[in-house]
Amino acid sequence: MNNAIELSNVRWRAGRSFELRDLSLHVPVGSIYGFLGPNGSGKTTTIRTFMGMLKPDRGDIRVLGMDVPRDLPRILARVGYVPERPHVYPALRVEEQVKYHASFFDLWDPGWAQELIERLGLDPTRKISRMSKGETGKLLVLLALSQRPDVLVLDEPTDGLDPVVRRDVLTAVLDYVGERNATVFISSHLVHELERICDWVGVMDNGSLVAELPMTQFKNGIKRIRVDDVDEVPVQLPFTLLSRERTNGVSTAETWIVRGWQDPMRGYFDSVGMTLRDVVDLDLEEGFVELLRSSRPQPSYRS
Amino acid sequence: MSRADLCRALSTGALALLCSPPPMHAQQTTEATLLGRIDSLRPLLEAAEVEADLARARRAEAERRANVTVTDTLSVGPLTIVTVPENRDAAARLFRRVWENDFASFVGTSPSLSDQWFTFQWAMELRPILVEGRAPQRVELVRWRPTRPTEVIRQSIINALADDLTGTQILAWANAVRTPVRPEELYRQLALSPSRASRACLAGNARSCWVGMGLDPGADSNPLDDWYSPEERRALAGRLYWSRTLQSLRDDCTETGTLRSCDVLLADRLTTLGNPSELAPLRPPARAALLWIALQKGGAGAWDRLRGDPQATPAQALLSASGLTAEELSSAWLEHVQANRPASKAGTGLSLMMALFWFAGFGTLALRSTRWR
Amino acid sequence: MYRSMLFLHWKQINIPLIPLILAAYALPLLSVQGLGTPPGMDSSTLEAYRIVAGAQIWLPVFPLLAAVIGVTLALSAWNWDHQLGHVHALSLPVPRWRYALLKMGAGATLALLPAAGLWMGAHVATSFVDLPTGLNAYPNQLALRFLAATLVAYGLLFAMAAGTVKTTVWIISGVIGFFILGNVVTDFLVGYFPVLYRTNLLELALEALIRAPGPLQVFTGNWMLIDV
Repeated sequence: MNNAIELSNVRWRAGRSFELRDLSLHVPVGSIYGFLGPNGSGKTTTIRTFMGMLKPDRGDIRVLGMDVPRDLPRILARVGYVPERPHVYPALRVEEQVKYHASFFDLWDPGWAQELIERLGLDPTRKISRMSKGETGKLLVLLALSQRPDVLVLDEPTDGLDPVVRRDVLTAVLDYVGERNATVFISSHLVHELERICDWVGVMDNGSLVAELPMTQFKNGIKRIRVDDVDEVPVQLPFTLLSRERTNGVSTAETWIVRGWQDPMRGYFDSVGMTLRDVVDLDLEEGFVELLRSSRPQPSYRS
Repeated sequence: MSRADLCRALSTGALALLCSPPPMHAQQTTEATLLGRIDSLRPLLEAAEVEADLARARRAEAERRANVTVTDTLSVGPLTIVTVPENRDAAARLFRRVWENDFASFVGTSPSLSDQWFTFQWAMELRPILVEGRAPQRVELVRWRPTRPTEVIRQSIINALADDLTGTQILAWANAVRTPVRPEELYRQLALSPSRASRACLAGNARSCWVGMGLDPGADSNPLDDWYSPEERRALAGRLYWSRTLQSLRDDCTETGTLRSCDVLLADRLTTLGNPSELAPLRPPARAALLWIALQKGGAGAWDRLRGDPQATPAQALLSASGLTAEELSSAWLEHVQANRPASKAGTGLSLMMALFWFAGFGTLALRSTRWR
Repeated sequence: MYRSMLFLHWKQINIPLIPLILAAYALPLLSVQGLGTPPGMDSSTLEAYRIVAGAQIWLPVFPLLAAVIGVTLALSAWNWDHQLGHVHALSLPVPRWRYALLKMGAGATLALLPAAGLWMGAHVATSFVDLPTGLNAYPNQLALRFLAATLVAYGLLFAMAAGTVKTTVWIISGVIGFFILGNVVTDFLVGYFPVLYRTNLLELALEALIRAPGPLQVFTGNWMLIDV
């Protein structure tokens, strides 16, 4: 089994407003897979599909080598899930919720759960309805981790949390991963956060997966280059031209956003009579934005 | 004075005469005349009204005859039934079922049934059925009324049969012949009847049942004492209505608890009642059941024997009809009532099993709750 | 798992359930109030029909209370899950049918509490009344019927609440449609099947519901604590 989560040509439609279109996604075993996308792109929908909460109209889904939905109970016993919105019962106390959740999981580690309660600073006797957003977020992560899962699915786990809480949550996750070599699937629109921890990235936009590649390739591969003496852009390029725009109104000077850049490609411009002025690294967020721009229909020139 | 002046004067004088009030005696004469004229016209008016009524009646009759429903007439035993053609089969079937199940065994001849016809209709909308020269027993069932047809037919036959008992003591004793109530209800009435006679009856004393219905209490005994204990007599006196002249006795009886006053009141009521059995604890529903049991036990000719002697007491009529002794007849009645004790055990048996079945059924539906939302 | 489910349901319903248990305990006592034998009187002279008439006043309250308890248990069983979009339930490694079965069992267990309350109250109540000849007390049978009625109401509403909103809307629309259109359709069909004019669909349907072996027959049976 190479992939912990695998979707093949999955299609799901809700009315006329939104659909997942022929979605094929592969999360390698042992990876930390960052699932990026703007709001409403289908991240949560994708997660709910492979978690067995939404029934796809078409396509195959396998998690940990088992079929969804046929083997769902066995799958869910090994998957820890932190949903986008809290799914814990507000009228329960922390210890009651923990105990309730624990009763369904054979691999539940009560010692580890207790340790996490202390480490995350949760009050076991506190009622969930009286907890802050950060405390609730920590509780959700605690519940998922205490199951000792092979796959952790985190849907915007740090959304709305303060930096301290975000750090605590991510640290707990990373510690678990380091100890257990679990696969983590984490979705977020906080790109800079994922940049530090993920080794794979998938980018969703408008129900489709527009990119799926290792993080290093993603980060290093997208550049902003300044090119002079641009007359006509050749059809065949050694890299992927995501967008181009004129620089400061000068007719022959352009700024290009390219993907798949490698340093030896500098020599290419001389061969086509163009001058390469500058190559600038983009951070993940800038690359993400440019990637999304390129995937949406727009005019080639922007002034 | 010219001619014109004279005419003018004469006209004025005549006018003055005409307009002037007549003298008193003249007024009286006019009034009397007018009254006399009115009186003379009165017979004419009455005759005209009669003619008008006749004309209206003839017109209504003509309209009715023009709209008369086409009917069929059929016979079931001694019963004559007029019905609409599309109901003929249903009428024959239902009347035959009721007659053979409930009446054929003991009704031989019945003058009432010979005279009394029945109409039957069971339709969405009822049409008028005309039966010349008779006021039939109407069995009319409209679709949306929930009454069962056999019950209606049974009651209509009973209503017709009751005419055979007109003027008899048995009819007064039974307070009209009626369809027997359900035996479970009889048991309940017997058990809840506030009377020592009823309690003894319920305990199995058939003679007490007989006495409790006001049948032959015995010449020397005080029926009130046979029927009710002293406390029960006081409660009974408190429930009945008393005239103002007896109010002080009533207050003595109910408020100060003087039992003698209660007995005086009830004795007075007994003597003033046309039918003393009206105070007996076992009421007409129980008596109707006894009547029908007597007829069924009597078999062929029982009905004839029941009404054979119009002067017979209720007890005599019942014994004659049934051919049994008082002990045998009241035992049969008691057996019938005790065998139909209502299902008071509220939670066991079939009812509980069915409830658990439905609970399991609904649960099974719940297990199909989908995970796809 | 079952104990956790039971605990969860208890947490959901304890506040409304406790007063309902107390009401179930009190109801038999209320139904016999004022029916004790006055001092100095022999109970055999006590009018049996007064006892039964007094108890009959409270007669409709027993099935009504059973229905209320059943409905409360059923709606509370799914209430939190509906509020949270069933996300937690669907993320558990338990097949959906088993989850529903556990939930149903938990609610049925809780239904024992008010029935037990009524059983105790019925025994206490009948100990206060000196029954004359011909009357008997049925505390055990009444408690059993109460439990059965509660379970039927619980089961019916539980099944409806377990479904999606769309399913519930379909069911309710179907019932209303039957009552509104049933007679209209029968009127139309009478032209083709004359025998139908003797049929009242609504009456038949109601009879099927409330008479044996219909689901509501347990509510319309004998609810008398003291009877012949």
